[in-house]
Amino acid sequence: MHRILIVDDSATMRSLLTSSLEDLSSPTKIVEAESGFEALRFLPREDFDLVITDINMPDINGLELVSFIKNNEKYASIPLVIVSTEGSGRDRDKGLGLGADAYLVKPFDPDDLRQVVSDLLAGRPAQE
Amino acid sequence: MAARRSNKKGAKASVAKGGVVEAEAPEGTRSTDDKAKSKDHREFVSEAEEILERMFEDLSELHEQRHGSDEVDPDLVNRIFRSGHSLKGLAGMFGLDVISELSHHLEDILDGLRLGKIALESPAVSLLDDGVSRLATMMARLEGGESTGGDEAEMARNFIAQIEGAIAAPVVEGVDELAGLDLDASLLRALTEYEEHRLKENLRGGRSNASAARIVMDSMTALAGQAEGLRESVGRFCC
Repeated sequence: MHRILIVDDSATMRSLLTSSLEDLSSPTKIVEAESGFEALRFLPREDFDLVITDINMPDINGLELVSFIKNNEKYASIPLVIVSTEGSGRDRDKGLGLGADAYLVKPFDPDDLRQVVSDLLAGRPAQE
Repeated sequence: MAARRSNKKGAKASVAKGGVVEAEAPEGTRSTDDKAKSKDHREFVSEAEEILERMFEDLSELHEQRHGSDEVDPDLVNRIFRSGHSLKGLAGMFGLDVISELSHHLEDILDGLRLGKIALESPAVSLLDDGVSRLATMMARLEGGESTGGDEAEMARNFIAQIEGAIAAPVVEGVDELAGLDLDASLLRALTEYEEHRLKENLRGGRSNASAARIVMDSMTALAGQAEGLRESVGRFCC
């Protein structure tokens, strides 16, 4: 089983992201966090195989979350996907520059998300 | 209106309390797809209503502040911006292009306002109430099972043209006050454009201590999360 952490302050968006990943070929456990701060609390609780995060959130923004994960030895190897409404090159460059592995713009195509997630999970062994 | 999501068959998922979802591997057909779409749609309508309600309240507060002094609370403007931003993204996911497009243009006004590119007295700011009312009307029709008609789309396009006319103004680039700031580069890289702007504004206003305090607070928030995580890890592995 692979474990994925989804971080978005919109309940509807979290639900859409989750349902987009229902058809992954391997069993998946998805944990939803409604803020960057909540994501920081959830990170140590499970060995996540992937994090999907929004950028514009009320407390800790998605870029800060990416920076935290990629600069923390314990979590740095976790693949990171940013899914943001912000399509400007500035945020994309910042996100990828901080170490995110992929950047998708909302509205996203679920097929694109599944493909990106499958590719990133392919290199990680499934956990018990 | 259905969400833009896959029609592939197979997997099933259950949502447990605490935001944990367990999805099993595909094993045949999935009969819950339409129900899931319907649930997503209901969630969207409910969340959009909450967003619009909050926008009305926050805009009312913005106008009060606007008439009471020359400055408004940057956090208030940022909150309204985030509301418009969220609605744009959600509407886009459900293929509601008119609502998404209008939200996008209201977001442009608010983004300009929060980044100091649009003045509080700009006619664009006066269009915000009308814009949010139009969005609320469209959402109410949607909730009643009606789709956005051609006339409504045409009116929205005309209104969007009004917004574009009102916000068209040259942008003056200032000096980069952050260039000489003695801060961790990785911290600066993780700031959004708005946070960078707020920091520059504070520096311009000679409130460098306040800026530093804000950055330190953000860092402490992250560290607090890290510390809590460490405590949990210790509890998990050692006790």
